[in-house]
Amino acid sequence: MKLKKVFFPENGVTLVEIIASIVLLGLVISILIPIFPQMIRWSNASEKELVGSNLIARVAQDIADDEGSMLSSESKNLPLQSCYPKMQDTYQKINIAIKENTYKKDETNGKYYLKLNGDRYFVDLEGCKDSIEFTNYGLIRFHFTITNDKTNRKVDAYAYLQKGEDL
Amino acid sequence: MKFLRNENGAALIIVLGIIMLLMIFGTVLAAKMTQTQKQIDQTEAQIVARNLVLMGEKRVEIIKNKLSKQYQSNLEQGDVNSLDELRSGIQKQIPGTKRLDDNHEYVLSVDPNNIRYEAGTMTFEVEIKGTAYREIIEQIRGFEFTKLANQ
Repeated sequence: MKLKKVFFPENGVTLVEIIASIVLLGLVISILIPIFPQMIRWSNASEKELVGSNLIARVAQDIADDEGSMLSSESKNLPLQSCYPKMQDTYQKINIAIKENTYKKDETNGKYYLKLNGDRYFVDLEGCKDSIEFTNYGLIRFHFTITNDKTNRKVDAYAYLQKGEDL
Repeated sequence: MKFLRNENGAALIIVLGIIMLLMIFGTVLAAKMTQTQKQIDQTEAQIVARNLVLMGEKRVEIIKNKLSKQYQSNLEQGDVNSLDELRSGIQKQIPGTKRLDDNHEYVLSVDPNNIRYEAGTMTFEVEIKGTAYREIIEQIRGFEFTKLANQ
């Protein structure tokens, strides 16, 4: 009998204690549960941001390789000026496909994107013809932003395009 | 020993214990998430900084080609003074800082001791430093002028 009392005690908790603990646990869980999906969303967004970052080198290379092509001809109209400090109208938006076969056009907003792992990464291009860089070295500066269409996370970088013969 | 078996208030202690465990778990998870985001931001800045190094390299390549055009024929004709002019041209025209915006810049520097001339070839090294936000990538690239006049 003594052993039975030790291993199977019949002293329980009161109903009030159980209800109180359930209420408290419920409160804690209701606060914590929404955090987990949010954390998963953050994690996914960060991952996509990293993918976007890895596209920087590719887009920069595509810009650099574009010598004498569409981007060069579009750059003809850029005014010669100082590109720093960056003012609102210093850089001019350029909406063309850097490489026609690689970059697809979204018909709804007219922007160009790269598709990777089922996600679309929009590439926004802005050009500026810096008076020193262009006059002395024949370089046109591009600032580009890569944005994931689902998370809206942005990464931005710069690239040079060397002046083609037609410029 | 009797007080050890006293179970009054045990439920509350258990609940508090669980809350504490959940809070520790949550804190660790939140810290981990912040850390991951920081690492991603750092990696992103490093990629951009590396890209800035490439931009610097492109600029050096262009200056090198200009200098080459300027002095090549003189050097081929055996004009020794042009060699010194080329050397000083490298030191004057390449070094500089290009600030693209408040968070992006690249710096080019040339060590005069690393400009060498040997058997018709002039070599020099440029230290290219790309800075994006607080991340800095430094690389040393070698360049050369070939087929110069033999001394």
